[in-house]
Amino acid sequence: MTTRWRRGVSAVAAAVWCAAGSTTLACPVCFRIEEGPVTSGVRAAVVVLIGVTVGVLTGFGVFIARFVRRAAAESEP
Amino acid sequence: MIPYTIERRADTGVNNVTLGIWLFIASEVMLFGALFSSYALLRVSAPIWPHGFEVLAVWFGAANTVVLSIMTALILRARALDPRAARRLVVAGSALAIVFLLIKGLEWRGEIGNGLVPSVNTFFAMYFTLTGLHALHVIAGLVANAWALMGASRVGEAMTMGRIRSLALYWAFVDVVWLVIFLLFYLT
Repeated sequence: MTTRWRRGVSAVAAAVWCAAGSTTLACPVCFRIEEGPVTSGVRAAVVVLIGVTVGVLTGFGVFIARFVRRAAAESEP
Repeated sequence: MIPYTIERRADTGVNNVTLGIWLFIASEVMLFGALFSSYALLRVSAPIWPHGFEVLAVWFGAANTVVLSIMTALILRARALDPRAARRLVVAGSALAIVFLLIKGLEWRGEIGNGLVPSVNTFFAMYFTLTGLHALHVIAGLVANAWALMGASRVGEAMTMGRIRSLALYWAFVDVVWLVIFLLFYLT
């Protein structure tokens, strides 16, 4: 991806973010309800799922880093 | 095509079977992760959530925790033994997995007999979903154990030990999932 292309994508994303405002940030389940049991529940569920996903992705990252290190060591004369 | 080798690859540090089982476990973590996320949503948003130690038979859960932990320890120990001793430990571990399922069956029978079915509330819906899915994993592990043991004479000792090492990883995962279920449903 070129720098020009990257800047273009960032500019469009920023424009959409500014134009859409709070709608883009709103959760479809707890829309406009700032506090309440459902909001808290959704928040807890998101935290758990993010935690699990980050854990799995970290594992993949460690695996990949290990592969890269070993491959580099193998290719050394 | 990925070659079926049992030697460690120099670039990855593991053999293909081990790499495959790690990828499988990663997908399983996401499956259970989604269900634990649902549990968090339902539990936090529920106005009333029963205490597991008041509505479930904690002794059944504790007994199953001990049984599955011993079972996993046996299979993990089998990795470092000679093939014959390793196969004996896998047989013993499989017997303990069957004991786990029998205890679970007794527990479910008592709960269903008392009218505590998934439609009672979201606690029991999540309880039966997660323990049921976990029990399916125990059954799948038993099938895999039988497959590894029955194929031992055909594929040779080196490949059988590779399979037992992969099974040990799988059973350790199944044990960890059970510990989380026990903590969330029985102790809180």
